[in-house]
Parts: sequence; C-alpha cells; structure tokens
Amino acid sequence: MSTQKEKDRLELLQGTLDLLILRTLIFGPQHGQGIARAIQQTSEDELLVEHGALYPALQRLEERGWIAADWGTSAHNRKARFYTLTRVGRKQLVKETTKWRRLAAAIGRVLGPEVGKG
Amino acid sequence: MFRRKRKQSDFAAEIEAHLELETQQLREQGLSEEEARRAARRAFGNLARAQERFYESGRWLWWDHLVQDLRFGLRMLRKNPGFTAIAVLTLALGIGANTAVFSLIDAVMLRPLPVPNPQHLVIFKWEARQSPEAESFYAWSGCPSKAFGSKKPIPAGCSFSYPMFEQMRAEKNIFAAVFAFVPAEQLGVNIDGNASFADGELVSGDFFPALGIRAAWGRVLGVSDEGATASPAVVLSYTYWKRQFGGEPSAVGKSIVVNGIPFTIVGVAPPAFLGLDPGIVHDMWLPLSTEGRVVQHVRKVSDAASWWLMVGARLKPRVTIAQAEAASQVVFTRGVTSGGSPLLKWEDAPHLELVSLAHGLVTLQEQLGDALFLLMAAVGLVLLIACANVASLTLARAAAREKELAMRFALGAERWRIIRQLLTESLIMAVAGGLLGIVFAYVGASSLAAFLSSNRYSPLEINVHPDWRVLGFTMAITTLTGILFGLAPALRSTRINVAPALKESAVSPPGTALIGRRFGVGNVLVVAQVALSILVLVGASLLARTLINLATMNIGFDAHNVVLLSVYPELNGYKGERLASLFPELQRRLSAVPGVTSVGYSAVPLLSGAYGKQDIYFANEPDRSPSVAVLKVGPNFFETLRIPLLAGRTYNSHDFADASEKKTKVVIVNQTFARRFFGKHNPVGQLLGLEKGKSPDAEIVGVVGDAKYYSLREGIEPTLYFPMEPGGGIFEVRTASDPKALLSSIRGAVRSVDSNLPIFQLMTQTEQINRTIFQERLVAWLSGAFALLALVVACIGLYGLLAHEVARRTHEVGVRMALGASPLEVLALVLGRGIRLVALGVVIGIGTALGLARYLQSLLYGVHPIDPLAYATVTILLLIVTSGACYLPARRATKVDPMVALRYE
Repeated sequence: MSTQKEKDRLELLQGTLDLLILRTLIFGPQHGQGIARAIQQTSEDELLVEHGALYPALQRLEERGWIAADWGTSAHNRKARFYTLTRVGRKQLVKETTKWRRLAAAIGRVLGPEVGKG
Repeated sequence: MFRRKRKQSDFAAEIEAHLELETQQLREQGLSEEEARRAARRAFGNLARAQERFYESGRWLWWDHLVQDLRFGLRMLRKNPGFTAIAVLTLALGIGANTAVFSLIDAVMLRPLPVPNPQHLVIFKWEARQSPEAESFYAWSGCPSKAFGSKKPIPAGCSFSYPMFEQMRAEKNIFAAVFAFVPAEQLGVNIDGNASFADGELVSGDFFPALGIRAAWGRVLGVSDEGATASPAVVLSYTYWKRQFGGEPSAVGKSIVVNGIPFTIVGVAPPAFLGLDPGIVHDMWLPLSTEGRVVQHVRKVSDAASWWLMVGARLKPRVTIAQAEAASQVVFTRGVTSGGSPLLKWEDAPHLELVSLAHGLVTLQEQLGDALFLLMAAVGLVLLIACANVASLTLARAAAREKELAMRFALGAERWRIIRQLLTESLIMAVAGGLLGIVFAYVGASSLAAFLSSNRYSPLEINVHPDWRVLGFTMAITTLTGILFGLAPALRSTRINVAPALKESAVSPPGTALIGRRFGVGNVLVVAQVALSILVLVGASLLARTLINLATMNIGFDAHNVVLLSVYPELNGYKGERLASLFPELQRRLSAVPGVTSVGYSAVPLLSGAYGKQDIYFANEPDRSPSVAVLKVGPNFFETLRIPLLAGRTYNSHDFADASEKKTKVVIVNQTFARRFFGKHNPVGQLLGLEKGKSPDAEIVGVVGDAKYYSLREGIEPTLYFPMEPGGGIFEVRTASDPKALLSSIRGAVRSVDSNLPIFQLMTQTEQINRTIFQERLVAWLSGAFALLALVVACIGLYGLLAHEVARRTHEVGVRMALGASPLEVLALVLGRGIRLVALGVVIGIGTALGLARYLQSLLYGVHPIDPLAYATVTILLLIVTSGACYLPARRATKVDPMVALRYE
C-alpha cells in the first residue's frame, strides 16, 4: 500500500520548504497543487510534502513579496491561484540556494565519506 | 505590507481548486472517482488545520480578538449594572481627583509660555556670598531656579540695575534681544471719568518683539515707545480690554489716565498672553520710560546701585544657555566689581546665571507648590484605594464567574487569552471612569482655581483647560489603574482547577473554612484599603486640627464685624493739605453711616501679610539695637479693633498733628515689648532711640495688649505703634451687626466725599485673615474631602467582600445553624472576620502614618505630627464606620433559613 511507501519518505527539514517552492517556481507560474506535485516528482518521491502545509508557506512568501499570486486557468481548464516568482524572490532563491549548498557540503564533510552499507 | 487582506472565501476557493486538480490528476493515473477524492484529501493532510492557520496568520488577528473582547466585555458589564456603576464611579472619583490636581500643577508650573520658541528665552539671575551694597534693592517674587524647586540659602535674585540692562543689551552676538520689565504695582486708572485700579507691568521696548507676541488689535509696544519724548502708550491685556471696553476694537486709540498721566491705548495683547508669570494677571503694559512719571517710588534709573529691573533675553539660534551664560558672566562681574565703590567684592564670588524662562516666572509655584504636591500625594492614595476597591469587587465577581471561566478553559481557551479578556473588561471600566473623571476634574480644577483666585488681592487667571499633558496624564493613570486593579483578579481567577469548578454548584464545597484561601488576594486588598484610608485620614485630621488651631486662637483683637476699606488718594492727585484733610473727613463720614460704631485707620491692616520692621536703640545700651515690628496707626485704631490699653494713654490729636510734620516723639508699645525690654518696670515715660547715633527722644506714652500682626503662625513680636500722618492707608470700620449688609452704604460714604476716589479693597477683617491662611484652608478642606472619599470607598470594598462571601457561604451558615449555632454566633463570626481585617489594616496604616507624618510638619500649627488624639480619633472613626459596613452582611447571614440553605443544593 501507499502508506508503506509514505513512511519511507524523508520529512522536510525546517525552513527548506520555502526554498523548494521558490526553486519550483523558477520554471514559471504554478498553482499550489502543481507545486506540491513538482516537489514530489523532482525529488524522485523522496520528499514528503503534506499538501496542506504548503499553503501557510505560500502565504508567508507572498507576504514577504518573494512570490506574487493571481487567479488563472489551469491546463485542465480549471480556475486556480497561480504563484509567480518576483524579482526579490529570485534574488532570495540564489542566496538561499548558495547557503543551502554550503550547509549541505559542510555537513557532508563532517559526516565523512559514505560508509559501506551493512 | 499594505495589500488588502485576503478573504477567507478566496482561500477556501484555492483549497477547493487544489483538491479538484489533485483528484483529476489521480483519476488520470487510473484511480476511481471515489478513491481519487479520498487520496487527494489524504495527501492534503488536516484541512481544518490549514484553514485555521490561514486565519491566524492574518495580520489583524489581534484586532479581531480585541473587538471580540470589547464586545464580550461590554456585554458582561451590562449584565451587572450595579457592579459596573459602582466601579466606574469609584474610578471616576479617583481619576478625576488626580486629574484635577494635576491640571493645576500643569497650569502653574509645567505649561510653557504661549510664545514662539519659549526654549530660547532666559532670565538673568545673580548669586553671591553677600548681598550687593545696592542703595535700593527689590526682591521680586517668582525668580526661577535652575534646579527644580531648589532654594539655595545664599543671596540671589532677579533684579538688576538699568545700566546693567544696557550693558547686556549691547551683547548682540549672543542675544537676539534683551528686555527688561518690572511690576508697576497698583495703578489708579481713569477711563472716561470712572476710576478703578489695575495691575500693570512696565516693559522695555524690546519686551514684546523679543517674546514674539503680536497684538490682537492695534500694535504692541516697541522700541519707538522707549524715547523720553515718545507720547505715553499702553497695551491692554485681552481680559482687561474685554472687561473695561466690552471688547470694542475702537478702544485702540482712546486715551486713559494712569496715575494722573494720560496714555494712549495703542493695542491689545493676544488672549493667550497674560504675562510672564503663569496665573498672575497683568491688566496693561506701559513703556519702561514712563516709570519715573507713573510710579510713586522713584527709582534712580541711571544709578548702577539701584537694582530694580528684571532682565530677560532671547538667545540667538544655535547659542546654548551655557555659552550665553559664560559670555554675560564676564559683563556682569566686570560691572559689579569695578568702579569707585564696587557693589560686590571678588571674594564674594558674584555669579550670573541664565535660567530658562520657557515656563515663565514662578510666583505661584513658590506659593502653592508645597500644597499642590501634598494634594497630589493625597489624591494618589485615593486612587490607590479606588484601585484596591475595584480589584476586590472584580475578584468577588470573578469568583461568581468561575464556572464560565472553567467552561472556557475546558473548551480550549489559553490562559493568556482569558487574562486578556478579563483585562479588557477592566480597561473598559477604567476608560469609562477616566472619561467621567475628566468631567469631574474639569469642574474640580475650575473651582479649585476659583478658590485660589478669591484668596488674593488681584485675581488669578489659572487656565485649567486640559491640554495634551493633562490628557496624557489621565490616559496614563487610567491605563495603569485598569491594569492595576484588573491584573491581580485576572491572574487569580484563571488559576482554576477545571473539573471541580465545573462540577460544583454555586456554593463552595463543604470543608473550606469561612476564612478560605480563595480570598487571599481579597483580604490583602481590604487590608490595603483600610491602611491607605488611615494614611489619608491621619493627614486630614492633622491638617484640620491645624486649621482649627489657627481659626480659634486668641489674636489679641476683635476681628468680628470689622470691614477693611482701602483707598489710595495719592493716585488721584491728592497731596499736601488736601490729602491731610481727606482722612479725617473720610473717618467722619464713615462713622456717620448708620450701623457703624467706630472707625480707625492704619498704614496696613493687621494679619494681611504686610509688615514693617525697625531697629531701636536704648540710652543705657548704645550697642544693642534690637529689631521690632512697627505699625503706623491713626486715631481710634485701638478702640475700633478693641485692643485693650494696659497702661498710659492712647494717642491724642496733638500726637497726630505732630506726626504730619514728621517729628514723632511719642510711641505706644505692646505688652511683649514692655516685658521684653523693661521687665517688671513700667515702660510709660521711658525714652527710645529711633535713629542710630542720636540720643533717645521718643517717649513711650502707653502700653497696649498683644495683637497678632504679621501672620497667625508667628508668635507675638515686640511691636511699636507710631501715630500715622494722613495718607495711603486702610480704614477699619466696626459695625454693630453683620458688616456685609453695610458694604454699599460704606461705599456711598466714600463716594459722598469724592466720587472719583477708587476703592481699592473692601472686605471684612475675617476675610482678610482667611486669605492669609488660605493654603491651610485649602489643604485642610481638600484633604478632609479626600479622606471622606477614601473612607467611603474603603467601606464599599469591605461591604462588597463580606456580602459576597456571606452569599457564597449560605450553605455553610445553614449547616452551622442547623447544628445549633445561634444567630448571635453567626453574627460574631462574620463581624469578627471583617473586624480582624480592619484591625490589621489599622495597625499597618498607623505604623506607616507615624513614619510619614513628619513630612507634614511645615504645614502644621499647634499640633505635633504624632498627635495621639488625632490618631485615636481616626482609628475610632474608622472602626465605627467599618463595623457598620460589616454589620449589614453579617445580619444577612443570621437571616439564613437552615432548611432553605440546605435544600438549596
């Protein structure tokens, strides 16, 4: 069952959801459901994103002015609220990405080379 | 951040779209409609939580809560109109009293002068270790100090010579303008033939321009009015113009006669500007150059040794007070220490200070400061009591609301949220109390200002209209009170154990004793109220005793049924022979008024604050020159005031005839004088010296009884009475009955002698004495009123606490009575509980009062700050009144029917 599969997925680290949303939006405007799906797919189903948790994050980013939102029509001719990356948001993405890369690299160095499984 | 807040419906639409899109996608992946819908829901997670988080992240959430709290609070308060009314009224009295006293303090000492950039204004003040060797020297009142309220014991003052003013005026690098001014004292004004008195000020030409004051009508005085040849010009104050000319613009250009000199009215000052001394009114401003012609005491204008001018300046922009002080210091020191006969020596460290004139001169502050601060302390205590009172009422009510609060806890309300709700209710009450308090305050402050004004020779104009400082103060104390009386009950009542509180009925569980922990805070509040009331009551009783002592003391003369009447004929051009005959003529006409039994006159009235002193010399002790009080008196003075003659004789007509030729050789002394300087010997026939270096030649012809002269508080001083030459003075008119009824016929008698002679003052001797002790009357009456208020409020608090408790313990009382307790025992139980709290409060209050009473010392007379009688009276009064407050609920407890009480559950 899918529940088994969900348990294997990784929980998101605090604060990383914002980064993932910004990154997803770099390919163009997208609605909430699309963003959720995109994160899931691009992470090859490794990340667990509860769709409901997406919205407070979207709202937060919108308030900060990093993304903008407007109602539009989806591919399936359904009305949906589309989010776009703003100029400030783009800059923020670059900054956050760099930060995240450095952090990941640093943690990687501390943890050392991958130990053989088993 | 200013985008419009998203609507909840918009968010809901977005979520719906999300779920639909997800369902559609899942169906495309092959799931059935039903399965897809469920899976979409599952992937979304907690829908309600998402909605809630959206709601909570709204920027205006606190506003929503505030509106909720306010609505609910108002509803709760409406549900208990009695409680709300008492609480709001209590707070309104407390806040109102504080605001009233504060608005007086504001008007007298905090408000800046109504001129542009008052912070650039300074007044010159000198200081030295010795007084200057000035020929004449005026110590004007209202000279401000740099440090607030500090008075250094070394010689200092705000008067300078005219040459010094000129030198300062030349310092054009520091000062934008230097101006001089001097009170003109009483001015006799004649407008179209009607004579009256006015208060004026003589000002230099720079005065108005430097202050930046423009005329409401016409023009203000300028430098052009300063020349010796300029025609005399006068600027009227707005209120004087309204009063005397009915606000007619045509008054400008008219001519009026001031002290016999014709002046042209050139303008009217703006309504806001009353002078440099807050509260003190000037009716008109005259050019300083007319001083020699207008004022009786001729000051030597060109003389550097005559210090009589107050000097102020406006600093240039960007010049600090310190810089200006340093520069003018040099000028001052050079001026006073150089020349043939320097006025001050270097070693006396003459020093010039520039004191900010932003808040004006400080005459009223000097006179009223102490009284106002004392009253502020008293009303502060009243407010604390009011807070404690409303807090205990709120607490009692919170106990009744326990179930409601428990229910809300059970439904998941956070403690903070409930505290906030309860605090909102408190603040609503505080704000209502504050608004009502502002009304009380305005009425109170106006009548206080009127009282102060009625006790002075010239009326005060204390502007008590609330300004931003007063409103800010009220808002601050309102908020503070709201939190103060709201927080303790809120914290206390939110510490609820939900389950038992919900299960319980309105009565307490059996087993909690009558003195339960539940009312820990309530007990403390009642004790605090009693203790604070004791403080206010002790203060009030000490001040009341002072007033009684002053009012009932033996003053040595009979002040009842005496009218004081003063005229200044010199201002109307009387002199020489005409002046000499006026006073006997007036005396004769006044004596002829039906109802008048006797008329005398003297240079100044007794107990008016006016006073003369002189050194005397004895033949056998040339080195001894004691200083004694002196008073010039006319015929019939002792008889009219009923001062008894103890030995010798009083003055006869020869003595007065000699007096007018200034060769007085006879004096009368009082009993203290006789005892102090002659002991057991008879002083009649002895000689006194009145001038240094001359052989004593004034013969003592009589000894009269001691009478209070300068002030009620001072002891009797050795006093010399001289015969008085006719001239400016005050008539004492004794009437057979109530003198008030005779005032108009007394006026008529004066008018029948000269209809142009203005009556400067007409009041009874009793009114005159009351004026000198008006500060004592003010603080005694007001602190008495506040003490009464405190007592009432404390009683309400005590009553409220016990009544509420009796209601809560109906069940327990029922059980006790069912088990055989008599009504008397129940009465004693409740009464005892109240009395115990009161007793504790009394002990704490008395202890604190003993510690604090010495600060009242300077205001007391004839009573020790630790006066056992005062403390005992207060304690007994408090015990009686509070027993009454306890008795009512206690009696209700005895009326409990055990059957009803037990069945009640």
